[in-house]
Amino acid sequence: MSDGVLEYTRKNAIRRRRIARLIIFGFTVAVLVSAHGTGFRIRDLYRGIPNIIQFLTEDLLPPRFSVWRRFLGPTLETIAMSYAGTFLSVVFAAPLGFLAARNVSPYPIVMQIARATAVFMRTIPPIVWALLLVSIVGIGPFAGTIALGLSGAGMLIKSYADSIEDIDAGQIEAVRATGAGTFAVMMKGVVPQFSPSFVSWSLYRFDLNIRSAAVVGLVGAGGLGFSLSTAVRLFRYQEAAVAILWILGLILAIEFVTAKLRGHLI
Amino acid sequence: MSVQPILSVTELKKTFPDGTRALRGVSLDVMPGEFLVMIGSSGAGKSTFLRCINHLFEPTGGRIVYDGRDISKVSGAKLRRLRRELGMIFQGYNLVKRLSTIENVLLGRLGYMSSISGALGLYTKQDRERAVELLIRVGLGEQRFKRADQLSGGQQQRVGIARAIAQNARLVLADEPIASLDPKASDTVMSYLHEVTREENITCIVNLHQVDYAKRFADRIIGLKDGEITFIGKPEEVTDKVIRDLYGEKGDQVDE
Repeated sequence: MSDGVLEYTRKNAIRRRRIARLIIFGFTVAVLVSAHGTGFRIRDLYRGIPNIIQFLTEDLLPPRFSVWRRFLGPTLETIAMSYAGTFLSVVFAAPLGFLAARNVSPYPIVMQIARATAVFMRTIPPIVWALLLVSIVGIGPFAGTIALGLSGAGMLIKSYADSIEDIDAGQIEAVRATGAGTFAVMMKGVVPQFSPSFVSWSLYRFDLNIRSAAVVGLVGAGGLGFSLSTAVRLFRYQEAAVAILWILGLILAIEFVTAKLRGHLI
Repeated sequence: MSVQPILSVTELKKTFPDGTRALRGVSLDVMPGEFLVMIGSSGAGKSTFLRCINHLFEPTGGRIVYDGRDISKVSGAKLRRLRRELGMIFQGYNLVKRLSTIENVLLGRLGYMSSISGALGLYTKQDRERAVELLIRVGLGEQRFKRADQLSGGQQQRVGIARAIAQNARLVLADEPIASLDPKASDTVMSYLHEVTREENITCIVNLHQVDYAKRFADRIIGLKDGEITFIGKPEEVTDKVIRDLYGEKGDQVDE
């Protein structure tokens, strides 16, 4: 009897070890194949080191701080883009979030459509939206704002819907049992429970938009990203370094502010 | 001529989608002003019975007549008008926790307002004054600006009672109102519920686990077991045998 157990566990252990070896082998092969496919060679990286050092020390550094004032406008533009983009997302996502939440959505088909819309908007990255929109509405922060708004709305619909699905059904049931109409049930039973996560998610989106705003700027959609890409294209790397510092500072500052706000509001 | 029952239920059946037969044909007449207590172990169908009356659950079969109207199948505006006359009190209190105590009482007025003005919280002055009055009546006048989740369980349930009364309900359905409370709070809550509904001449159906509370407050006691009524009678007719039949041989389930 105990022999049987021993034999069984031993075989199992051997089998597990065999599977582990196969997985490691598989990973190794995949790494080699992809390195070959992308033309990655250690030798090139090694030979490139002097270039990297030279670029960092001679071209990029030290940052030409004298031009810092030039990025003030684009910084404000980035903040404005992020804010307007967040506003767009929230306005768009708030009603759709309710429709996409299983527990409050009026019909299953509406829920499916709302969820599909969210997936569509979310899976296309902001920079792709920006590329398309720059060709439609032209270079500038307007394209960037809409790009941020669209991709943000996708994320917010899903986050809102998930938060709404997590709320206490009993509180909704109680409001419904008073004979309240559907809209009143939403506003009095659902919204009070949902508002902390609503604020939290919206602020988080604003936070993310600051980063995205820098990225979408690279394809011409305004803000600090656009200034950065212009500086790089003109080989003014020391000015680009200042732009990068601005972006870094802005992201940290906004993160600090939103964290403070979140703490106060919830 | 005898008085018409305020609620008359005939052969009420409820089968859930998973096949559970929670109610297997329950028939019951409730007279106006009665304080009726339903006892029975968990899963006997007490909760389902109450939720079928105000259509939080849709009954599978049977007939429900409330105040002379057939309400077996109602929806839309008719359902809203029905629900506002039926106050409900829940085991978990189900106050909207992030709203103030007073607004929770005011929620009882939503059935009388348009959906829009309800959503915007445009309660009338009379409604507000009445809500304060009701809170004072359940001993919570001082707490009215506190958020509901800052109150103790017993206090929350008293707000639940005030909310139901604010509806001008003619029938109150109380689903295990004291199941989550300690003995002292249970006493207070049951006393308030009994007192207020007596004063306002409101009919009351209360689901209870605790037989001693049922005997103390009920005009009539209904015993429910496996979705069927097995006992109807006066509190003094509830003998040990009746309790054993309802809760099984183990007496320890009784004073849960």
